[in-house]
Amino acid sequence: MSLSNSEALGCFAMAQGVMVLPALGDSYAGKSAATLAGLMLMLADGEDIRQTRRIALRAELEGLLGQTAAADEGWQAGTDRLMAALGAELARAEAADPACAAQLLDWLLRWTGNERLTIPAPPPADTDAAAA
Amino acid sequence: MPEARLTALMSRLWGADVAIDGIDRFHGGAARETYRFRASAGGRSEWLVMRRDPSASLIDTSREVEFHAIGRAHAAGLPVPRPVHLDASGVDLGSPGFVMTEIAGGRACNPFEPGAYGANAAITGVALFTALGQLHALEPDAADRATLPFMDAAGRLAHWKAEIDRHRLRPEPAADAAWRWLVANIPAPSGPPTLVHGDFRSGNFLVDADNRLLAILDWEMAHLGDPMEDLAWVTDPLWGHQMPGVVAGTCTREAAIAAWEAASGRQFDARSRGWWQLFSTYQGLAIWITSAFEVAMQKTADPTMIFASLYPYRAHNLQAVELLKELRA
Repeated sequence: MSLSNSEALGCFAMAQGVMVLPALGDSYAGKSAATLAGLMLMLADGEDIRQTRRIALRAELEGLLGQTAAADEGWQAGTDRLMAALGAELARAEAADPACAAQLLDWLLRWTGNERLTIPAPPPADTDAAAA
Repeated sequence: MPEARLTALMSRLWGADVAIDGIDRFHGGAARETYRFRASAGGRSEWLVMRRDPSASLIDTSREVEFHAIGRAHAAGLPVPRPVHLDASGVDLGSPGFVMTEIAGGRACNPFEPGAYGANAAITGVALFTALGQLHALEPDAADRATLPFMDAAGRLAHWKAEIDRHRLRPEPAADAAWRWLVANIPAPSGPPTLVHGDFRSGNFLVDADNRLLAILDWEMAHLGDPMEDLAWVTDPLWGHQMPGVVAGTCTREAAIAAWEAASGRQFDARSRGWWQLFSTYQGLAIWITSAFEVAMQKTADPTMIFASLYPYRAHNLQAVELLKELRA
């Protein structure tokens, strides 16, 4: 494979910045294009490691819940089903099994922490322009 | 571009042949379509702002409520634009909306940009929390009670629960766990009901070139309720410019609360702080889940809505679990 998905997203963002933004300028469309470029950078940043962690965390959740995603299930469908089971089990455990509830909440903390995104830093200032 | 509509409307309001120019749509503000424009007739010329409903929105709100709240705040001397014309039916503007004066030289800061308020940040913060206190010092009058919905903690929670249930695309275990804790721990009111802005945060107020507070905007979620709601929302870390320990990218929490207490004549209710913090997070999740729904249903392609579905949603999802762990400990 020549480009990973996250590398491709980063390239799209750069192409947007170099080829699209200058033509649109400081207009509503230009600012929207800049937001889109920022979104692509944000999604690309750390996605490979997020996905590695997702796989490990989901396997851990399967162990906690005692159920697994079906072999013919897509990733998102399987995750949704496990998340629904987590929600139901957490609601039950809050009332009947505080230790289990705490364990599930700990897992959810690590899952949501892994999904947290980082806003890309603005490009460094043009030092030549600043000096001029 | 709504040039023809604005020409007809302003000509009627001014009783003259008004020319419209300089129409420019503001970027962001995903709840409404917002345009600035200049109206001119004879020797008179004024820069104005038109806000109207878009085809899809982060939140479902009423233009009457927003127009009334701006008018009430303006009459009380708070820093807000002057309301000019309400079009509740959309007959003038193409969809329900209103016209107000533009705040010259004002700029809204990006709430995700560190250090956006520069060297005057602490001064801006005190002015901001003083203005919020002045709003909360206003005693609701008959017109407020007739126009603004009353929503106490339980009512507000029910409102956002309904939004999440209506718009969820997939399981939301963090939001659902937050709701269970919130509904089981609803606090007593912190005092008599007040006017609540409902979306009081960095990015929804304008500052001048020196970062001094010029105007408070975006009143579409105004209601009568508990002022702790505004305090929790504006101090939510999401709106903190990625600067821990600094609220709204301006000043310390202690300075903010002191300014608010001095201006409002009320006392900060420390007992309910945790509840309102988690409520703020839950409210955020409701807004971001609604945004994701609108995007997924292809009702909008506005990148602001796409952003809302991603960054703030995931930040508040994590924050909900962190707060739940603290509150349950």
